[in-house]
Amino acid sequence: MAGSSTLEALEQQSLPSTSRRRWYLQDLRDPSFLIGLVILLTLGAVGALAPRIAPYDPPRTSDGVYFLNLLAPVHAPPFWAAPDEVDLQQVSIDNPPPTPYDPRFPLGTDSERRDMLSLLVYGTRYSLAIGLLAVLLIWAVGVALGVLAGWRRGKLENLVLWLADTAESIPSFLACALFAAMVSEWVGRLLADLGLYMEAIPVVALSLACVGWASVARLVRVQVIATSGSEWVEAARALGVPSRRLILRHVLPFVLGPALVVASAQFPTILIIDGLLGAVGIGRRPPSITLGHMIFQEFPSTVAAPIFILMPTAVLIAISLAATALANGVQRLLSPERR
Amino acid sequence: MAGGGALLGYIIRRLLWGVLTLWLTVTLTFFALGITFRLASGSSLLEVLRGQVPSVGPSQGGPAYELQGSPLRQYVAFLWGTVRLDWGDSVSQGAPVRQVLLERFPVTGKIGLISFALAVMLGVPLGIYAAVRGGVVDFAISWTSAFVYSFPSPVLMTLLLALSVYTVGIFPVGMAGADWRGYLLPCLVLGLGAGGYIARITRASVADELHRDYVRTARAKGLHKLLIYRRHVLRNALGPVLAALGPTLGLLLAGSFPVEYAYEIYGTGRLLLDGFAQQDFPLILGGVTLYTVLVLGSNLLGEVVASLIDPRLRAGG
Repeated sequence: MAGSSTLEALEQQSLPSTSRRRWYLQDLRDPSFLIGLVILLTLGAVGALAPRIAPYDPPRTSDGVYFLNLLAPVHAPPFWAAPDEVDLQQVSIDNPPPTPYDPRFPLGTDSERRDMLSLLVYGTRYSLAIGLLAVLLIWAVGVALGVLAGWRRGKLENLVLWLADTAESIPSFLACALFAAMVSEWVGRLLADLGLYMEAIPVVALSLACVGWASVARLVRVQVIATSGSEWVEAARALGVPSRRLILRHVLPFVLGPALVVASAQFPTILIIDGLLGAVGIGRRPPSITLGHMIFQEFPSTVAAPIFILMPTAVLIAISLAATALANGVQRLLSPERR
Repeated sequence: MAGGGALLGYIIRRLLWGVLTLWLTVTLTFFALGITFRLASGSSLLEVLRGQVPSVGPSQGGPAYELQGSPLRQYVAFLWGTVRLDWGDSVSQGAPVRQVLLERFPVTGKIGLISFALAVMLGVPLGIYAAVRGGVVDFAISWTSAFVYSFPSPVLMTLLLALSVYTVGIFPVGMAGADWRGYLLPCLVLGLGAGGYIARITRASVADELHRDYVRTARAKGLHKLLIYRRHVLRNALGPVLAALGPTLGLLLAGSFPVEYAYEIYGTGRLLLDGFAQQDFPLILGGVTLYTVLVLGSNLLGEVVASLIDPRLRAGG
């Protein structure tokens, strides 16, 4: 074993880039990292504790209506927009009184009489779960295929590039609709044949991840090609470092950060597409409606009450920006040039 | 003449690559979605693969390729149909797919083209102005476009969609096709984000060119600033901008799904989304072909125009 330890020592000495790095707490004092982390952790806690926080349960009936709230008003206003006392003299058929504020629903109710607060809490839960899972999938698949294409040039590379071109030649909304219809049916059928049941969230995340990997793989491929031509990889190769170790220790560290940024840039797209698919009714759905679904389902009916679109939009934007900030921070932390 | 030959060869190579990609897309869609819809109608995978399930969905007089024996023969019939732009009758619309697509596409096409024009008319002049003027103007435009750009475009789109609900009194919703005012909101929502992206690319490209040595030399020779900009800087800086315009056009033409849904515009986007919900197999096959051609076509157009202006930009393969 003496030989291999000498090799390692040589590698540590001569290669500037990728020796084991030490982590210090001060490394984490990156503002965008911290802001993103705090926002995501807060929203994540809200999502994780949703059953405790939300005043009402998610819909249990198949048509997605809170059966508890059947007697609730449509579009009850949130507490800050509670209407003033109504002058009964002024009320007529043309000028109906505004829906009164209902203290049972502090944030009001949506067009289907559901409690907005519960919807937002559960929507955050399922949107975060779907988005995070899909981004991780995109990251993993994109990096794997990109490294494969960049390291093994030639036929395999062309195949990956071709697949990426194909995945991107269909508009993402259409492609996601295709994959959503497909994945829910195939995975569901396959698991049913095996006597298993799978939650809806991984299925939705998987179908949304089928498109986004292409841009990640493209970027990773270029970076791998650039990195594998660098002096330190040449040096390591000359030292006789085996291929697998070369990739893991000397190529991958340069690729993971940028790939994460590109993957997490798809976070908002994923949430919006998920909402559109939900509103149209394509593929499996999670037990409650998601933030994107809330936005799109309100459009046909909420011209008069835009606040019910703005509330889920605000949460969705917070999630998206936090994810972007966090990914940028993580990229800086991962980057080997930083040490 | 050698240059012209090389360009032609380049275009043909890109065209072949595009046809290959289109073929893969259409083939994957045909098999994957065909099996999916047959599974959804309750058949087992084995029956489907043996070709024992002749028809998809509630279709009665379905398209020819669904009635002909084994999956392979159906596939060949479908490919031949795609070449002739004949996908049979749409199940949900009760009319030939080609006719339905042709009826609905003008709305979607207009939205895509208008928002593209908006993005270009907004992005290119602002980008050039920011780069040439510098100073406070550059700062303001750069930061605005950086904000618009770093705000991921779907989020910007959602935000604009949500805020536009307040202007519904001024701009009618669901009127695109009937009234020119109906196009304003959807095109604004789609075009603004793309405009920020184009402004950013234009600014970077022009600023990069402005700092080259030849500009200083020309200035030292006493040539007028505007002449240098018009003759040399803009022409040289245009390549990367044009290369970015192709994919942007494709993105806008094919990106109107959420806008069409939100504003109740009945274009091809809405049509296809409804087609999915109703498992309208022929319609989806036709739609996927149409959209893939749109995206690949505008990418190719952008590449060719850019390489006409700047031969260095020709991609390999």
